[in-house]
Amino acid sequence: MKNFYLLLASLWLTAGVMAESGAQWGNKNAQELRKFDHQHYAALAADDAALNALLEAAAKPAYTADPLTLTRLAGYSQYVRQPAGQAHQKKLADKLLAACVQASDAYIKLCFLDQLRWVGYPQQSAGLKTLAADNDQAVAAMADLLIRTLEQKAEPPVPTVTAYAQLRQDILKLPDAERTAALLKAFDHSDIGMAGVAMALAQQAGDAKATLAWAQKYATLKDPARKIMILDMFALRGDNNAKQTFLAALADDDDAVVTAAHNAWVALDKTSYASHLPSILQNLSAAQVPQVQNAMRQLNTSLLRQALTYTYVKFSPAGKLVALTLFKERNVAEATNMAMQAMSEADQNLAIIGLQLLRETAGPPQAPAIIEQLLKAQGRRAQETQNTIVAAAKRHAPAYTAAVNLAFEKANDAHKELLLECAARIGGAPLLQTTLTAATGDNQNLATAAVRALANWSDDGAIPALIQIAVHDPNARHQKLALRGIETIANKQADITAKYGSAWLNLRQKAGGNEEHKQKLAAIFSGATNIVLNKQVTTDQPTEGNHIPANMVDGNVDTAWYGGGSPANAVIDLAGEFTVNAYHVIFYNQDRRTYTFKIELSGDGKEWHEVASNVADPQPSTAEGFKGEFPPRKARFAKLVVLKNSANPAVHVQEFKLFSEVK
Amino acid sequence: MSTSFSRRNFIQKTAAFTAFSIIPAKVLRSETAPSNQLTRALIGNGGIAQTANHFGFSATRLIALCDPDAERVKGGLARAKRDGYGEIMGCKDFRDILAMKDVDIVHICTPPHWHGVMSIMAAQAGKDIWCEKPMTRTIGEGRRVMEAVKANGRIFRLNTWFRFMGGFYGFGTEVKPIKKIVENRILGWPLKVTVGDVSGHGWKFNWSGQINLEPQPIPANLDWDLWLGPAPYKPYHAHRCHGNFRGYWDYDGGGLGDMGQHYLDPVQYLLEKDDTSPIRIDVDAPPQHPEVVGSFRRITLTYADGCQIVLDGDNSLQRAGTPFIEGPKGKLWPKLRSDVKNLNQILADLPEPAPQQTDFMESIKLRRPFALNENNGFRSCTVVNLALVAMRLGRGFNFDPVKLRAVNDPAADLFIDQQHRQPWQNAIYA
Repeated sequence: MKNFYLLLASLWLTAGVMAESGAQWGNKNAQELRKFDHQHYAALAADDAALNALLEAAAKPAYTADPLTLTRLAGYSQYVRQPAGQAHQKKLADKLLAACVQASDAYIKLCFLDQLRWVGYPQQSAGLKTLAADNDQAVAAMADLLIRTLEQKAEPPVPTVTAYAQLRQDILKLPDAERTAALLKAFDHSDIGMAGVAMALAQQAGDAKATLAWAQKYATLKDPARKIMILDMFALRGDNNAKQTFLAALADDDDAVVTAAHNAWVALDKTSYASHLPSILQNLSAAQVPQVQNAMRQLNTSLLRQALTYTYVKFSPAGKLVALTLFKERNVAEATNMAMQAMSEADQNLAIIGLQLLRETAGPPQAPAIIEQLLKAQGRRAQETQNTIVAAAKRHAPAYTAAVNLAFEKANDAHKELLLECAARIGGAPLLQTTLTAATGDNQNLATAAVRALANWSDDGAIPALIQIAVHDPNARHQKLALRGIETIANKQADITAKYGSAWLNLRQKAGGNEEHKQKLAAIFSGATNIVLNKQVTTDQPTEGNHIPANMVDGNVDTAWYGGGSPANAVIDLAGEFTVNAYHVIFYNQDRRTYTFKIELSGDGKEWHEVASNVADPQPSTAEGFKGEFPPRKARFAKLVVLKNSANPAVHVQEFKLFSEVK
Repeated sequence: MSTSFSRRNFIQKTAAFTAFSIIPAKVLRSETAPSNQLTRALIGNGGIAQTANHFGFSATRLIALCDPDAERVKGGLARAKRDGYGEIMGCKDFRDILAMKDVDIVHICTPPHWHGVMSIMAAQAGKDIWCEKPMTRTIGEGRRVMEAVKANGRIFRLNTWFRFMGGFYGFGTEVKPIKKIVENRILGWPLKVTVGDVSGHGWKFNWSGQINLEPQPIPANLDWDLWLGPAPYKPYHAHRCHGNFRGYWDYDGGGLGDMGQHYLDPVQYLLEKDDTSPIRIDVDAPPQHPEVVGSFRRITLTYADGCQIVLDGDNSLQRAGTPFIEGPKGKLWPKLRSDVKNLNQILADLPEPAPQQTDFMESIKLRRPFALNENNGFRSCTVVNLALVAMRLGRGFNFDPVKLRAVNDPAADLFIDQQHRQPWQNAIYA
């Protein structure tokens, strides 16, 4: 609405006068305007003096009469054309005409003449004819317009100005029996506009004889544009006798004609087109795919099902491709079955399209068959099959993981290698276990394949195993593969130290192994490692609400553990022995409260050694929290003891971190 | 054996067979002029003529333009040079353009009071036509345009496109998926479509003129009589003329006349009403000033099968989420939000709507009707014009969509088929 008024303001500026918008004025005067109803006009009709006064008020020079007056007059002009007011039509017309003749100002005359247009009487009066001869151009033109306004004379026939109109009229005059011959002749005119007129007439009607004549004409044509015009014409007139021409057009050398034939036929009769689809698709070439696809998309799913489901096996590869694509678009269940057939077709392109469709549609039941296909396939088809398995596994992980594991149990070594490659791309714990077993087995070739799979593992779950292999595997090649795998992940994943630093620390303490790789791993896992991240926490105070103890070691300061009382002990199992030398703890910090706390470490969970505390000088809690270092100490367990909260009895730990410095 | 084709059947087939795919140039080349390019002329060189569909259209060669304002002719000739068309013909009177034998297509870019007369005369002169919206200012003119285009075998393109291209105003999506939903009766039938100013190009929705305009001297560069043409001769004022004419009943119908066909044509297409018109029009609007288009609160147009179009003039339905489409089985809001469950899944299983002929050059060369032509364009323009007639009458009325007259309502008929100032009345009926 604001924009609207801005617009009005701009209109005022354009006009250069302080005029008022009609809409704005209408809204402002809505209450007054509503009074101009039938009752009001009935009263006006009965009050000659009031009507005279209205006309007098409207008769202001240069269109300066009050808009309410003009609108009231316009409303009355409408009123006298309706049954309720019709009796007063002549009186108003006479008064308007008289006022017009008497007015000295041309604009007053124009104003009344404009109203007389809608009153509509007496348009042939002498008074009006006098005004039509007025010296003022505008008055004369308006009077002339008014004289003709209500003439209901019969409209003259359509003029025959152009050759096109003449042709049309000439043909329309002909008896039906002669019309087709004339249309055929007109169609041959070198001006395609004349041919267009012929087509426009031909598409209105036609019998079987006419269809035959046009079909014969079609057969003689070489110009694709004229062929298309006939195909269009058949479709537009719903000519069910024209199918032979459509069939001929479908075999045309010109793609545009073939396209037009598809579209014309499907528009003419969807059921008939669908019934011919199997024969069309049997011989469809790859180049014709877009033409038929557009037409097929206009068929409903039921027709498509009927036409394609049982005949699919006979289609050309391109035909199968079209059918598969359409079924996929419509979420038709048969699409999956067709794709399952397609993936083992001799035609590689079709097989690939089938596999690509299965990426989106394959469910758990298809898992064994697709994995079997993987073991048969070669080259690009094998790659596409693997892609399909990986994509389907993302949607149905348990089924595809189980199927790969089952196939692995039965497979020969060569197939096992393929399956390991596939497992690496799927990832996840169950396949990781199978792969680890293979990596540590006696079959060296398979073990190498398994290590390669671990090195290429799609998630970071293989890192602990890779650390072990990189340092301690007896096979040097395996060590290299494993190290490369860790390096690849480390390059992609910034948090590798935080997540797997503890695994590296565990291994680092063991003697022996590949020292060069140890150094490289030390470089990868350098920096401080938060050894309590996501470790098991046990507390001795009840949890408030959803603020569970795990929140204090989840790496997220937006979550917290709320313990119901103090002092509160939170014991963390480090799941291995670490050398610990630093801490960071963050409490609730939205006011000036203080939390007194201490940190203790233990090798056995029984005997505890305090390594840090703020009991002597507690400072207000802040968003940065409290950080500190202490002499390195080996530990298997850590404990955060919150002794007191200055604000209330509960304790609120947003995050607790303990670091093991790796150098 | 004889096959007969009823009119209804023909129209249904026509609607379904709006066609096709783009035909490669090689198919059409045999029919083109030696220059291998169709030619065009612009009738009217105001703001709308400068857009991509007219001056900026590059698929045809611009060879002439005209305007009753000499300054606009001058500006047009200069732009033609800049645009690489060289020296083209420039004149005041469009009849000189129609007399040019080498003009294939005329673009009618004038105010709406000229659209009907010029389209008819262009068809009679054997030109193909690309006409700005609204197609005509009255229903009577529209009927004559249909007749003239048909009689002369011309190809007519109306310059609106939302049924086949671009977003449907306010609906946040193209029309095609909505058409798919509607034609497969997912929402049931009949439907009611409610549009408010969000679908009507907001700031233009209640475009209005000014009252109390005092006459001004006619500028020397303007042929005011020719600018007015078939409209009643009224005193000149700058606000009646270039740019602002839409606010006056003599030349257009305010914001509804200006933009209505843009947002109501897709609605007509969705409601499958390309061959008919509403039978009842109801209005809630303040009485209208006799010269100046005012505003309206609500206009409801009802078709014979119960389908309705509701124009929410005061945005009182905006809270209900205008624009929206409602049927007995469900409701659809912008961005395809709906109370129909699993609508996306349902949509995937539905056939596509028939494609439409949207290449005007192809239409001309193959003599195929363009997607928005004189017939369906007439019907959507009639929706607009019926609403405007109701506003001017200040009351509802009944309409006969076959006879194209009001039902026993001579007052309404006067607005439905208005007479033109001479010589234009004779020019189109001569």
